[in-house]
Amino acid sequence: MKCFSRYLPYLFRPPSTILSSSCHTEADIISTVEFNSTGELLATGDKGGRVVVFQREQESKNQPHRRGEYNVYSTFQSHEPEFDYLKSLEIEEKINKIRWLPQQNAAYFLLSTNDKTVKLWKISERDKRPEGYNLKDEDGRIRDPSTITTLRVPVLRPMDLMVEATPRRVFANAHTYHINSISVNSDYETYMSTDDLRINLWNLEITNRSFNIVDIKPANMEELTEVITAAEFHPHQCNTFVYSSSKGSIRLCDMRAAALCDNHSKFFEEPEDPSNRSFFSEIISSISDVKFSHSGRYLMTRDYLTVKVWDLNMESKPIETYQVHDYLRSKLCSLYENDCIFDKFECVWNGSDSVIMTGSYNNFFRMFDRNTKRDVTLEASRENSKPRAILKPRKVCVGGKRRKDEISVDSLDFSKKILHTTWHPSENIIAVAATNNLYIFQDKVN
Amino acid sequence: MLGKGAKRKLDEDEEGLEGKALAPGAGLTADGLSKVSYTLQRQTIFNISLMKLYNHRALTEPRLEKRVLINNMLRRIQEELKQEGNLRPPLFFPPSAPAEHPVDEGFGEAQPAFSVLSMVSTALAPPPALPPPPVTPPSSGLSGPTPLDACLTPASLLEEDDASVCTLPLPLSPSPFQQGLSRFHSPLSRDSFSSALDNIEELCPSASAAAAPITTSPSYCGKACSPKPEGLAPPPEGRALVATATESKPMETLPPSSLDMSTSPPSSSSSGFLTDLALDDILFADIDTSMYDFDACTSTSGTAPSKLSPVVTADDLLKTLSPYGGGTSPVTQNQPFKMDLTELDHIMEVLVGS
Repeated sequence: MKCFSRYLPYLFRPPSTILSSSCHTEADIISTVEFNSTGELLATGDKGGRVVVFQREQESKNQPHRRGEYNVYSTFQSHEPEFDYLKSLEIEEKINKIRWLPQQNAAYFLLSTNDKTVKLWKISERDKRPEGYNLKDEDGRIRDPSTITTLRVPVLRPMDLMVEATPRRVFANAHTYHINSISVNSDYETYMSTDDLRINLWNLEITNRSFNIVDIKPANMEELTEVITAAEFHPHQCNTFVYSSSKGSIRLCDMRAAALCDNHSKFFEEPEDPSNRSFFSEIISSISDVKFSHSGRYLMTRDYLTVKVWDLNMESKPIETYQVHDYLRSKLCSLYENDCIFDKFECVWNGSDSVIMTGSYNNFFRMFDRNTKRDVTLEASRENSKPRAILKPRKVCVGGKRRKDEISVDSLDFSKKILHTTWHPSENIIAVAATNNLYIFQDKVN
Repeated sequence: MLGKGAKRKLDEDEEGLEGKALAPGAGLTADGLSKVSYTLQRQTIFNISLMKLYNHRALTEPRLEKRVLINNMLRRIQEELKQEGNLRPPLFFPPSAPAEHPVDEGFGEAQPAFSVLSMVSTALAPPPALPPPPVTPPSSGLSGPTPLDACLTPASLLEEDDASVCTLPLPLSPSPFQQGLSRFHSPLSRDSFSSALDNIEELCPSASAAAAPITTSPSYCGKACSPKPEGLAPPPEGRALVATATESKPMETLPPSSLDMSTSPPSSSSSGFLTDLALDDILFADIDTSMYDFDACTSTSGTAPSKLSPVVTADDLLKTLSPYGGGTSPVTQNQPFKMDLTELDHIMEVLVGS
């Protein structure tokens, strides 16, 4: 796998985090990461409701080695904690997902969501300000009109760059259950928000109305056995979207067929392997993430132990299945007890759809090359990655003799989990969130 | 991995050792040990699942997906136990006190103590003595009391004794609930989770054959059944065994208590672990429960014992009194719960005192 031969780890943390990762505050835990469509910006959301946006430095001939480093561009508080008085429960401010809108002018727009409310934020730069007002002086104090003898036209003068984020739309009160996904449509006019039982379609301009397109809530809640876990629009076909379920199935729906898309057009599900059946078969088949390939031809799903690639034309089984951490299969009971079995790992394609990546425990993350069928396990940790050092592949030994540098299954740290990763849309740059630390790795092919 | 009689690879050494140690003495076969360890694991998972659902006191609303998955797990185990009920020795469950229910718009949980007890009683029941429907509704499968473990509360004995009273003849024309029950069993008959299931099928081939052709909605074994053309929206008939089980109870004991029918769907009460509770109506008929009825829908039921006026449990009261439970959707149960008489007295004292 030539493209992963060298990696330059670049360590980044949100400014408010304590340096030592062992005593971070809960609010600093990164809950989502997302590159924008050009890769120039990288947004992270955390449990405290904050969004931090990084911008890539322009290449400069003076400092070629600093090509493409990401610096903090803007930080803002997107969501605040709320209280649901009806149920006497708190509504977490944790940012569940961030999705960028395609750039149409100088400003950047992103959607960020917590459990209940989606917000559209505008991030814009201000590098000029008007000077020479008539009615107020430079400090902003109002001038006494009787002292004004001449009039002047204010002029724009350069100022220090200021990046401001303003909430432009708030899409609230449309979800009874927890929002788990948002997805912007390729028509750039609509987007959908998905909770456990319903999917709503919004127009980006209209906040007081949304259209329900999928509703799987049963008439009797006691009969509920399946929930929606993720959903995404097709990258090119604005009428097509998919949603995944907690039972390991994916449904592809066409909005042209009916207003309410409870009837799917395609149903993707792999029959259960009887030899692998256990008490936990259903839980580990629950799909935690679903992503279309950039080409729109394939679909990738992540369940607890595997990543699967599906061809949209074949519903009966995936075309590829990759084992992420199969050594956990014998530990499912313990993982059920400590709730790790419910961890929701995300998965991501690279720009050319040739490599897929997903996270694991112990701050490991895995990459699978679909063409060469080779895979690698890497670790995101400060001890192991000096700046510009090459990331060393890691290996988990499953039994028998443990070689040097291998780590045994029992030594894995299950509190260090990499749930959120993202890949630059065109280059080999990845961002990996390890609890409260953000790692940005680049591939430097010389 | 946990197939019929097949040794699990990872425990192979373990079992080998155990086999050597115990085989001469206890006379257990390796196959028996595998079943025992399977049962132990299942029981462990069951207990863990109950703890997860009921001991979780979160400030924020618990995740629905997690609760659904745990609930499915519990239902599956309960089904297994019910299938094996007449073949296995009594299962011992600790009488865990149910903690606060996670409040939700509608997705409710059962009270574990009672569910456990009801499960035990159904597990102990011999094969149904009743004529068709082919599948025994859990509430009526108790035709012979079996001594329970001493650690169970006295209420369980109550239930057990009156189970025979409760086994009223079912309506011969299968109600939608009975059909729902039989429907749910059919996918399970294809689920070779438990080796005992095959034995059961051998014993009652007509039962499984009758139930086989009926398929259900995307249930846990939905893959084996004919896939539903539509999405996840379930068909109008009853699907899950658990929901229908609770509803079948009022059906069989009373003329339609329409109050109960109409109110049980919206209530976030028991998801079907509660079975066989109609006897409460007989037991507690003389107790005036009108004051304890917090459910807005059934507030008009008054004190008429002929209607299935709910007997509020200690947990209902705790729930309505606690800050987390207050102000939620009409959450109080409509189905009468078994309750120890002494507990009821205690609760009354508390209420009157406060």
